[in-house]
Amino acid sequence: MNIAPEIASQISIMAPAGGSLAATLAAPRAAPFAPERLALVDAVRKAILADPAARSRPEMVALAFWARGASLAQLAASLNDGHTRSPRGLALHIAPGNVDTMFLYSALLSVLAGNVNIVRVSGRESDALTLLLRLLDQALATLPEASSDCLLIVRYPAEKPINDALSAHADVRVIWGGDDTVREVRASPLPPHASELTFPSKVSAAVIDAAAWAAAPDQPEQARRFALDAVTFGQQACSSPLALFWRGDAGSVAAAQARFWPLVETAIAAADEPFAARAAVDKLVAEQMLAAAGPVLHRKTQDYRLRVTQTPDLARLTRLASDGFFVERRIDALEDLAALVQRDWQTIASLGVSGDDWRAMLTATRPHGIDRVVPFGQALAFGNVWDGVNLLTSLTRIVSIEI
Amino acid sequence: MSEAMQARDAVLAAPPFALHAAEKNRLLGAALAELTAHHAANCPQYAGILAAQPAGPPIGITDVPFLPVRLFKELDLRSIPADAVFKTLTSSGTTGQVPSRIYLDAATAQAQTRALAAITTSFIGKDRRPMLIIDHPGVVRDRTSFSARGAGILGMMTYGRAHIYALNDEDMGLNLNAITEFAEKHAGKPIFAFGFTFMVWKYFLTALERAGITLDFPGSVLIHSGGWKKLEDEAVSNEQFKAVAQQRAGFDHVHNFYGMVEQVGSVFMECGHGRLHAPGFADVIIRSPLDWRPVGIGEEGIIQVVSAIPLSYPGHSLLTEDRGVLTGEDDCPCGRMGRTFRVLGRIPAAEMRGCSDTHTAAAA
Repeated sequence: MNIAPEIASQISIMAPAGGSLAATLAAPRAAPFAPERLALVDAVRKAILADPAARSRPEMVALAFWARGASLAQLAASLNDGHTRSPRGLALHIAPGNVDTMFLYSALLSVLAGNVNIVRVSGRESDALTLLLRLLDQALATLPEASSDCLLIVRYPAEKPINDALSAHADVRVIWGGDDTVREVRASPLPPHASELTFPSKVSAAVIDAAAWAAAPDQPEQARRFALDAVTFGQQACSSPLALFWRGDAGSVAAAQARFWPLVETAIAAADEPFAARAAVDKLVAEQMLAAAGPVLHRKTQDYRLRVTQTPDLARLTRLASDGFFVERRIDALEDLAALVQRDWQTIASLGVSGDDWRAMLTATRPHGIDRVVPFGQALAFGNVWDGVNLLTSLTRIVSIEI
Repeated sequence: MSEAMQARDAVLAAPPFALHAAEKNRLLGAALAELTAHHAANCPQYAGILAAQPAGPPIGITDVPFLPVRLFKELDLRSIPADAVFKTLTSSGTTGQVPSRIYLDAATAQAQTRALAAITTSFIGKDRRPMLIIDHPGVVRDRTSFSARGAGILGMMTYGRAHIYALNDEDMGLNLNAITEFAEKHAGKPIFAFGFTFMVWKYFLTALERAGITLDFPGSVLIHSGGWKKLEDEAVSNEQFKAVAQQRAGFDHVHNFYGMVEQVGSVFMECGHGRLHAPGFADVIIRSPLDWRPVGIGEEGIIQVVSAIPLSYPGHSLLTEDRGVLTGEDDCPCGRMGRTFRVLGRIPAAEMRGCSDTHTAAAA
């Protein structure tokens, strides 16, 4: 297997130091959860914990927590379903332009699955990306060369000939990013046998049952979890709630709102995220666009760190602004959501609505979207089932042995 | 346009730099209140925006609700029927961005022309001088749809005579034949030059320097606008710009001005003391982005501009995408009344985070 020199010369190796396309293309696959693969993930975990800058980022700490031995043992056990599993082969990962950690979970799961991995990171410089590359480089440097070849981080211009060349070698392709990125990468054909996982643009929401809220003994804590789900990643992750739906009659919803939002405001202030003038302007634009389109009410808040617009008929959930901008709406029953759910709805952070209620609603109305329903505080927690796909089983193949 | 707008008429008729603070707040405040009511009655989207805000009747300049300028990229906002549109202005914007669309009727365009005349003559005098346009002629060729640059040049051309364009259409190179002929014809006389800041610097002053040419127009005035972003990237200061303009071309008076296509006629001209001046029919307010309260002299914030001119679209009170700081009020040594300020640059773009990268356009 080889890449033409005029293509290879455009691909920069970002990590590990001394890595090469040739070495990675020739690297051996491993059995799922082979010791050397567990060692690689553990090296990444240690690099995060040893780095003060990484330790100060909650998403990095969460990644390190996910990568600890006990949680990986659970993952390995989930694969023990009586089938024999093999890696797929070469996995080509396209990371999103704005590097945060989500794509890294799928890359590390692919390492654990036994695949050989090429990860393309964005050409856009950012502190987060620099930090990530440093950590990966440090982690891979602690491993014997032969076992670090299975993960190669590269950067190259987003051009079709290069995507073509790498895709031609791929057994599975994983694309993170916006809809446009997915379309662009999909223009490069995969070999007939190869499979593909895509994680395009998604939007998320939250649901609160007003009566359950009124009875909740831990209101400040629940509001804090909601605020963290929203403001971590500046409300720009696909899982960050953008809208809040209140279930209940008008009176109890109004009472719940009057208590809820000030608590959220306090929690956002306590989170002490840097305040950006740009985000404040975006919120102003968002609320005026909503008001120009139909009757709405802007909730009074202390300042522009939090803004909430009540819309009686939310037609379409879109990402209008970030860093603490919400639309809210009352619903009588969970079933009222069915008419609103679009294909790109991902996470519902839910408070006071039972799993049975959700199952009943999903069974009865079968909406096109909604990939996961989680409690407050868990919206950004990565699961190995993501966007409706079990990553670990999708990154391996089943060998049926029927003798 | 049947509503009587006495305060608007009065503030537009006043000399541009004569109103003292108290008088201006009363008169311009009343004019802006008239315009707010007018747009609410004639632009349904604007009425919706007002209805969603906690509103009392506006009593002073700072009480008037404001729209962020980006709204004119997102929405088609006008307070006149489609058939009353006299011309449409679009912002130049970066490639790939949706431009702002500003709809003018005859009355608004006329008020804009008068206002611009009053301000400009305060700086270059009433006599029309030979005019050097520091751009290429192609920029004004299509007269039905103007770019901001084209509209700016056409607007300024009225205040000069015997115009020539300093640059060639094809390559933005110096049109040396035209410049030489112009220089010989008007040698030793004060001329009027106009161009956009970056064009003047890159394709005129720098090109003259590279070609080793020095022009001699003593007592001349150069007016330029368009923002310092690109020049800051090249580390060129206003002082340096002025010095080179004087040495290379004899421009003794160099006036930068701040303005935007979204608020026609709001021209905030820099005086000889380096301050940008709000004329009587317009004003500048600096607001804190945290809660949008107005801040005082010396405190940085986001620039809001108000103007009595826009009748045809709800652009009489706009929040810009620029940061600025007030430097004074009714106290400039140049003698002009009104507030003065400095522009500190664009609001920085937001950091992109999360797992999807499709919303980059929102930050533009």
